[in-house]
Amino acid sequence: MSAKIKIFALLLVVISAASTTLFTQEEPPPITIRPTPSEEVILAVADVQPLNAARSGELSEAIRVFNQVLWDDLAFSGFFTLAGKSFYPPEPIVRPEDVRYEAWATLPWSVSFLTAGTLDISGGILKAELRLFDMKARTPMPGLRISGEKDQIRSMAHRWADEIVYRLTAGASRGVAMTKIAFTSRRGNAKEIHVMDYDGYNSRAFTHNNAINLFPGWAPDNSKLSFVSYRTGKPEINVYSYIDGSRVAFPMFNSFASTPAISPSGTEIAFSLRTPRGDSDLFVSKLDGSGRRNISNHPAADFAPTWSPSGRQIAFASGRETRPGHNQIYICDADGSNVRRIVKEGGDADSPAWSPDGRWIAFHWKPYRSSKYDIFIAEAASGQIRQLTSGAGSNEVPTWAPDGRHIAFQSNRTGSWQIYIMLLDGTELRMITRQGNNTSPAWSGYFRQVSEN
Amino acid sequence: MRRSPYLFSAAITVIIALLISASACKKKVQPTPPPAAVETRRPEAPPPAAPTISLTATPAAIEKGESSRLSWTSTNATGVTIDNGLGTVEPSGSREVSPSVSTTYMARASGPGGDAVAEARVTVTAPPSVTPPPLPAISDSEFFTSNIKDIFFDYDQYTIREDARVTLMENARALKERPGIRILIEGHCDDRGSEKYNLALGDQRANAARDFLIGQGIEASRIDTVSYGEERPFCEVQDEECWQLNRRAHMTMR
Amino acid sequence: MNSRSSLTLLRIPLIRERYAGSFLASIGIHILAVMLVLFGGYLFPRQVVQIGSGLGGGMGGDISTVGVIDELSGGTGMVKPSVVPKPPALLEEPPPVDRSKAVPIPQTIEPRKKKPAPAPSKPAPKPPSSNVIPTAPEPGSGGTGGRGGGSGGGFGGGIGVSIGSGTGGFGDHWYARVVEARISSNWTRPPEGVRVEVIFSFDIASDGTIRNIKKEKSSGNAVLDLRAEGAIRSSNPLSAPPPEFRGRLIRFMAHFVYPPNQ
Repeated sequence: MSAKIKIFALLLVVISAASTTLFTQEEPPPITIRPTPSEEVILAVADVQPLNAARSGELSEAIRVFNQVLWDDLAFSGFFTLAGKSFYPPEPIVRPEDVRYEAWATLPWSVSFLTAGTLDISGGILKAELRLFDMKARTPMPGLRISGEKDQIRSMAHRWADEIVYRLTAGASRGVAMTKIAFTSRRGNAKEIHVMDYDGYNSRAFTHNNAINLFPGWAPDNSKLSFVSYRTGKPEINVYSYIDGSRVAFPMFNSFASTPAISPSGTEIAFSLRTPRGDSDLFVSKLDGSGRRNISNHPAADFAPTWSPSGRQIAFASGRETRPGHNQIYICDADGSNVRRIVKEGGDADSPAWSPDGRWIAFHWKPYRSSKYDIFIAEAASGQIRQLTSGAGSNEVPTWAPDGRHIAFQSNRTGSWQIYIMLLDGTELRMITRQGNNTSPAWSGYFRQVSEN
Repeated sequence: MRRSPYLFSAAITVIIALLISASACKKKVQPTPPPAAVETRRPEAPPPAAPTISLTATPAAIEKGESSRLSWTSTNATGVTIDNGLGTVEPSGSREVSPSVSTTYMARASGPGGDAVAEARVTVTAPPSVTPPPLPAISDSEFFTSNIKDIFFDYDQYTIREDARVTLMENARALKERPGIRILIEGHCDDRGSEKYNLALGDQRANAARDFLIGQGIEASRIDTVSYGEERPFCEVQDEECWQLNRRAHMTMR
Repeated sequence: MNSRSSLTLLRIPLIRERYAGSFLASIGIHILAVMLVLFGGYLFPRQVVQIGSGLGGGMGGDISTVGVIDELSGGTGMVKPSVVPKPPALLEEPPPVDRSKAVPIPQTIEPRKKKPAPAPSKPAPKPPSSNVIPTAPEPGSGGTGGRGGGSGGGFGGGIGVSIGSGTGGFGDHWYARVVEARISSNWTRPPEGVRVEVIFSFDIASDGTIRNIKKEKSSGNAVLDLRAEGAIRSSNPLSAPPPEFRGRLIRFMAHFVYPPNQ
């Protein structure tokens, strides 16, 4: 055998061996998830700029509102540490290439992401072009073009804030900036149902019947509002379309019906109704009232049902087992079986609200002789309880944002009843109604599909 | 002795017939009593004259409330009495009387010569009927307001307290007096519980009051209930006095 | 024979010259095959991630367009004023948030020092009631994971998706970073002192749904395996991957390691 061939054979073997080794290295190396201390996502929110300097005067108010709303929405989301604007490199960012990564890298903190964009107006229509920037990889990310009429500038900012939240949390939240809150507002001797943006703006009356209307609630797809109304003289369940304001036929009982809750499937409704025995029990029926069945059948007053997100269970308040005025929170299957008590304290608890992820039931509770409630959450599985509010005033009627990270509630800490929103840990607290008496908040579901990206 | 049996029997028959006829005769014939002896009056010293009296009522007919004048004269009387309350009167005189019903007055004059009586009748006629002015009738709603009262409850309770029982029993009596009245019972609460609970509690209070009234015999169809929870307070002060006023079952007419 | 002795180290039998020709042909074919395997990724890229300078224009990919917003793209329930009668009086618009009056309510819950781990994972406050159990702080409860080491480079940690080395490993892509952060925040760490290392793989569809979760390497403890899998499942669905991944299935390898610094 010639030496060349031998050497060649040797080479072949070496190459084969090496390539085999390399080949096994081809497997995508895993992401190693290491529980390092929480890595904040530091977000820089650069002011949106007029696309065309000539129109900057015309756009100044819209720009001011957009930037303020965007900032507030992102702060309220609770996902980001917002880097203070005073530290930003001064050059306005109009085009992606205006971002000078090296300048940003010199900031006191390590900015993870930057949002910037432009606003223009033509034909009376505002056009925003918005973009995120990956400051670690130093590259622009896909952007969004949003248009709207001048009075929709807040919605445009909300839309962008939701996009940022959705993307940067990998979908943990779809953003609540476009959600609504329904509530009861006292108007003279009447109480009407109103609907406002989650931040308190654009409040509009939904009912105009000059009667007492109470306890609003949303259908899971936001297509309907349910509530109690005295417009016929007695407290009756009412269901109205939120899309066109038409009434959904539901029977009247001419006695006592209260606290309706539409199921997660949107096809059923749970509510409290007086029985011939004279107490009120929980009933479930189809949304048109058919198939009505009593699921609690207990001589004590049962009321305030709330569905689990799967629709398989219901939590409610009941005066069974305890002295009058000591209501407790119970869970049962949707057919009323397997009742178990989850709030085992004394005192008075009601107004339960099941979290969107099914894990928690929020409620308000007070010691018996007190007149002041506070908001608590109980873990549905274990019954562990955490307190969410304290201090002055009574805090009642909790309702969850659809991402399960915020709640709204009513409080009289300022002397009148107003609606508040906050993160679960109590930060980012905001009073979102100011005048009159406003109670009974109900947070809508997501308004936006996320098909586009 | 050998008599003929026929003779014996004939004799008995005759005796029997005689007896029968005798008794018959006795029946038939009754001796008339002799006429009473007529006493002839022997003349004596002239006997005393018999009294006379006359009595008149003027007018003879009066209306109730009016008076009539009884007048009498008598002779040969030592004493005159008139009944119906007048008693002994002078032999001749008059009195005013005002009987309420028709009365016959009798005057008796007594004297050595005997007695004499006279009568006079006073007829009392009913006055012409004047329809009294109608008493003002109380309307149902005024009646309701005056007679049917709210009841009050203890904190967190819907049981009927003692004072509420009393009120409800009076309400029931009043409702029975006016069977046309229908009642709406509103259940109310103070604002210390939660709104949802208070709506249910108000319903329980209204129904407790309703059940009590039905137990008192009021027809169920006359009673309706509605709960207002804490939505329609009577007062809005944060003290026990106001809270108690709010914890009520309010009665209204419907 | 010299040749034999030089090769005995490798214990390869001597090949006779007679077969040299076919031997050489065989070698050639093998080398070709190896080359194909090594570098074929460039000819037939499965998932190619080119970031930054890789894409022309530098405009950072696409801009998608959202129409006039009053339709709230796909959402239902925007009240159309023409249908719902105008209310007699609108509430006044509240003023901008007056934060000076915003009193943080709970004195019993730890304020967030850093960012977002959702409150329920925080230690419980002083309980007013008997079945509140103060939970011990979870190890790494703040833990949104670091990225898998390495910067750039296809195989230096991070997800290597492309077969082929080099240009911009996917691991540093922002999408990989946020996905990792979300999964990490959903991961219940094992108790103190317990070491766990478990590997799962899964695919991400273009709408963000997680598919085909597969355990690649067990930790040896079924419970710990389950917790890692739970972290993935409870992150479903993820946000839709950005346009550079559109139309493709992304394979993700999640390597759960605790304690860190292993």
